[in-house]
Amino acid sequence: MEALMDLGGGFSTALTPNNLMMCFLGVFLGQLVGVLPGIGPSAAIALLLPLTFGSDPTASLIMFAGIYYGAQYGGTITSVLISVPGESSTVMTSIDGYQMAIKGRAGAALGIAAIGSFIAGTISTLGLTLLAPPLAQAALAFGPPEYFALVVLGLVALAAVSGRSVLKGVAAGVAGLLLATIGIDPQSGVSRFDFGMVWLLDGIEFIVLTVALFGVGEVLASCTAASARPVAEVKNVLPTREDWRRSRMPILRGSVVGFLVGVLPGTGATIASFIAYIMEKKLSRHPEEFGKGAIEGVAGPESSNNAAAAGALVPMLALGVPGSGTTAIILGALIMFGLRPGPELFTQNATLVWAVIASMYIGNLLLLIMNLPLAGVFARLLKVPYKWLYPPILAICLVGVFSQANSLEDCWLVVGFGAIGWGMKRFDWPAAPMVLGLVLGPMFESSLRQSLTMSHGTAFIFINRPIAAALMLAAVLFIAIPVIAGLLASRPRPASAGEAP
Amino acid sequence: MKHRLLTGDMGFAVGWALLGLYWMVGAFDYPLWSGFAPDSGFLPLVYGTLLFLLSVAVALSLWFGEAEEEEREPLTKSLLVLAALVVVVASLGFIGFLLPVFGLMMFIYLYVEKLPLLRSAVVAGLVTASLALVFVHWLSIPLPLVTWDF
Amino acid sequence: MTVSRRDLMLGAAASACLLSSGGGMLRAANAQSGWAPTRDVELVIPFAAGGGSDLLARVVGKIIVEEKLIPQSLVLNNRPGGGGAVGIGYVAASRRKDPNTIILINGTTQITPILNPAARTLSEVQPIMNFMLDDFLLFVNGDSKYKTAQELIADIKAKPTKTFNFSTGGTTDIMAITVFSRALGKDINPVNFNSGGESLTALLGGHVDGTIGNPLEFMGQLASGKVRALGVFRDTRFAAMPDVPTLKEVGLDVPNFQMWRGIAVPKDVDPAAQLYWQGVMEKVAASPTMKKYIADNVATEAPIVGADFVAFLAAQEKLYRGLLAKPA
Repeated sequence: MEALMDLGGGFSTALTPNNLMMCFLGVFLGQLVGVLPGIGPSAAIALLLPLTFGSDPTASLIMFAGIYYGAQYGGTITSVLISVPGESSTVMTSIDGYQMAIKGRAGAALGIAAIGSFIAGTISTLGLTLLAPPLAQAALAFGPPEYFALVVLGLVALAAVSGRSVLKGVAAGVAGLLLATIGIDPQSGVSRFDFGMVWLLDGIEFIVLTVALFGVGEVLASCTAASARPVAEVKNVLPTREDWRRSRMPILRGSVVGFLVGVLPGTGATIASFIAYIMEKKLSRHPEEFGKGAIEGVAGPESSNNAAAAGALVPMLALGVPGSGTTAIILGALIMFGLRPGPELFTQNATLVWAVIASMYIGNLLLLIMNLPLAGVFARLLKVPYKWLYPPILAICLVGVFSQANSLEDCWLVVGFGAIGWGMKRFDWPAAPMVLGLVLGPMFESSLRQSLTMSHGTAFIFINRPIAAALMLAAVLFIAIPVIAGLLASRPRPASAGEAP
Repeated sequence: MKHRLLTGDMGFAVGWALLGLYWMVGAFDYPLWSGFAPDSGFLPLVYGTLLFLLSVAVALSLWFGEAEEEEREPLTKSLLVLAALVVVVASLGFIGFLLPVFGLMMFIYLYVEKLPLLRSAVVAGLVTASLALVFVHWLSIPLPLVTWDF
Repeated sequence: MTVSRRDLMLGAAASACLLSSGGGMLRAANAQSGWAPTRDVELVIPFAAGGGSDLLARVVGKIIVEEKLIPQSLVLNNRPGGGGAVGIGYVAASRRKDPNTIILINGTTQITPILNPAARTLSEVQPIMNFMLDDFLLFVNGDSKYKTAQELIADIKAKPTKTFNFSTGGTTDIMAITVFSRALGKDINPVNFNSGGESLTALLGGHVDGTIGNPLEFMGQLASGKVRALGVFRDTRFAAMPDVPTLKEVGLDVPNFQMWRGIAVPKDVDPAAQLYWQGVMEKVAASPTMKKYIADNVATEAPIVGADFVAFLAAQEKLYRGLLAKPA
C-alpha cells in the first residue's frame, strides 16, 4: 500500500498544469508519429532530446513516455484504414483490422482498439505501480536459453498465421528468417549476403518490409478493382454490444501477456502483439474468421502492444536496463538529465518515477478521449472512393519509408517488396509469417549462439534450466496436440492447424 | 491443366527454391562453426536448405494437386502503377521528393483512373503540401529537395 | 540566464585558446578572416537516432545553434547503416569536397573498414577534431565471489582456457576482452550481445561471470552494489571511482584502451574551410554544455585538433588492427 501513497504523490506532481501540458503534448506527438509509417517513437524522442536539455527532467520524461505509448495508439489508425502499419507493433492489426474496414467496420475496429489500448495501458500501468521491482528481478532470470526457447515457441506458431496453406506459410516464414541473415552478423562482425551493397550491411529494416508487403502490395493488388470497389459503408462507428462481448477476454488476455512480454528486456511490443494474435486465434471458437475481419484479431494485439509499452518501463525504471529500443533512448535521456538509472532510481528519484507512472494513467485517459471521437472521423475517411485514396497512400508509404533512415535504397526496397507482396496476395502466399520470420530471425540466431557459447557447446542448457525447459515443452505440445488430436479423430480432415475453407 | 508450369503460384515456389539454393551455396563462404557455437554460415545454410525443401514440396503439391481454375484480375493497371513507382523512385535523387510524388499522384489520377483534371490537381497538390508540412517542416526530415521544392 | 551562460562560454573559450598552442591561436584568427559557410550546413550522423554518437552530434548541433557559432542554419541528417559506412558513403557520393557538410565520426567508423574492406569510411573524410574518449572497465555481478581483480585473474589463470564467460555488447567490447586476455595469456569465452544494455542485463541475471563495458551504463548499478567494478582499462583511476584500481596497478600490462568520438569534413575540402571548422569545433569543445555532457557520460574530455587528430587516428588504427588480428 506504500506504492499507492507514492502514487498519490506522483499524481500531485503529474497534475500540475505544466506537467499535464507535457503529458498531452507527448501523447499527441506519439499519436502523430504513430500514424506516420517509418517514423517511430524512438526517432521522435531522439529528435526532441536536445530541445529538452536544461528543462525539468520530470516534465520531459512524462512527455517521452507519452510519445512511447501514444505511438502504439497512432499506429493502429493506418493499419486499419489503409493496411499500412504505422508502427511495427501494429502489423498484426493490419490483417483483421483492414478486413473489418473493407466491410465498413473501421469505426468498430478503431473503437475497440482505442478501448482495448486504454484498458491494457491502465492494467499494465497498475502492474508497473504495484509489481515493478520484484517483476524486474524475476525477468532477469531470462537469459539467452530462455529467449531461445521463447523464439522457438513463436516460430512453431508460424502455422497459426499462415492462412490457407500451412506449407506455404511455413515456407514464407523461413524466407523471412533467411532475409533476416542479410547484413552484418552481430555475433562475429562478418557481413553476409550483402551483394556488395554497403546499404545492405544493416539488413532489411522490418518496417520497410511491412510497409511494402502490407501497404504497397495491398494497393497494387486492389487498384485494378478500385473504380468498381464499392465505397465502404461506414456503419455503427462505435463497437456494438456483440463486438464488446467478443473483445472482452482478448483485451484482458492481451493486457496480461503484453505486460509480461514487455517486462522481459529484449522483447518488445512487436513480439507481444504477435503472441497475442496467435493466442487469440488458438483460443477462439471460430478461428476461421481470423484473417477475414475477426474483432478479436484487433482487440488482442492492440491491447497487447500497449501493455508491452508500459511493461518495457519496468526493467528501465526498476533496474536501469533497457526493455526495448525506445526505452534505451529514454535511458539515455535520464543520463543526459544527470540521473543515474539503476536499482536506486525508485528510492532516490522517487518523485520523478512516481510522477511519470501517474502521468501514464492520465496519458492513457487522454488518448482514449482523443481516439474515440477520432475513430469515427477517421472511419469516414473511407467514404472517399478507393481510386482517390490509393495514390496518396503510395505517396505516404514512399515518404514514410524514406524518413525511417533517410535512405533512397529503402524506397527501392519498398517498391521491390511491394511487387512481391502483390504477387503473394495474388497467389495466396501469406505475408504475415514472412514478417514474423524477419522479426524473430535475429533473436533466434543470437540466442542460439549465445546459449551454446555459455554452455560450452552442450545443448542440455535448453532443458537444464526450468524456464527454458517449460517453454520448450510448450512448443512441443503446440505441434504435438493438433497432430495427436488429428490422429485420434483419424477422419479425412487433415490434422494440421490453421486449416480453414 | 496445360499451363501448370507457367502459373504465378509455381513461379513463386520456384523463386523461393532458387533463393534457398542461393543461400545454401552462399553459406559456405562463411565459417559454419567456431568454438562452442555455430558461426555465421550455419543458420543461413539451415534456412536455405529448409526453404529449398519447402518450396520444392509446394511446387510438387501444385504439380500433382488439383488445378485451381481461378479467375484472376487483369494485370494492366497494377503494372502501370508499379512502373510509375519505379520511375518516381528513380527520379527522387535527381529532382527532389515533392515533384515526383506530386507527379505520381497526377499520373495515376489522370492516366490510370481517368479522373477530372482540376480535382486531381487539387487533391494531389493538397496531399503533397501536407507531406511537405509534416515531414519537411515539422519533423525536419532531410528529404532530397531541390531549388524549386519548398 | 542566457547572458551569464554566454559569458561563461566565452571565458571558457578564451582560456582554451590560451592553453592551446600558438598554432591554435593562429587558426582561430584565421577562421575569423577566411572562409565561412555559404549555405545551410548539413551535419551528417552515420548512425541511427538515439545512440551515443547520435546524442553527441545533437549536443554539438545544439551548441553551434545556441551559441551562434556559424552564420547559417544547421540541418541534422541521420544516415544510419553498416557501422557508419552508409552515412560516410553518402557524403563521399553526394557531398564530395563540400565545405558546408560536417560528419560525426567515432571508433566504429574506424573498425568497420578493418572488418569489411569494402565499406570505406575514415578514408573518405578529413578528420577535424576529437571531443571525447569512452573508457572501459572490468565488471562482475555484485554477488560474485570475486572482490578484487587479483582474485579474478588468479582464478582465470588457474582454470582451463575459455571457461570464463564474459558478456560483450559490441565489437569494441570484444576488442577490450582481447586486450585483457592477451595480457592474461589465457583465452576468455566471450558471449556476444548486441548492445551494452543487453550485456549488462546478462551480467545482472547471473548468466555470465563478468563483463567489460563502458562506465556509462553501469554507473547506477555500481552505486547500488548490483555490479562491482574491478579494474580500469586506462592509465589513471577515475575521479568518480577512486577505489577502482587500474589494471596496470594490479599487475596486468594492458595498453590504454579507449574509444574516440569526433567530427570530420568531406575529403579534400578547401584548407581555409578546414581551419574554419577547427575553430568552430574548438569553441564547441570548450562550451560548458559539452563539458557537462562528457562528464555525465563518465567519459574523458580529449580535444585533439587537426593534424594531431590525424596522427592520433593513425596510432589507433594500428592498435585496432593488432587487436582484431587484421594487419594492414
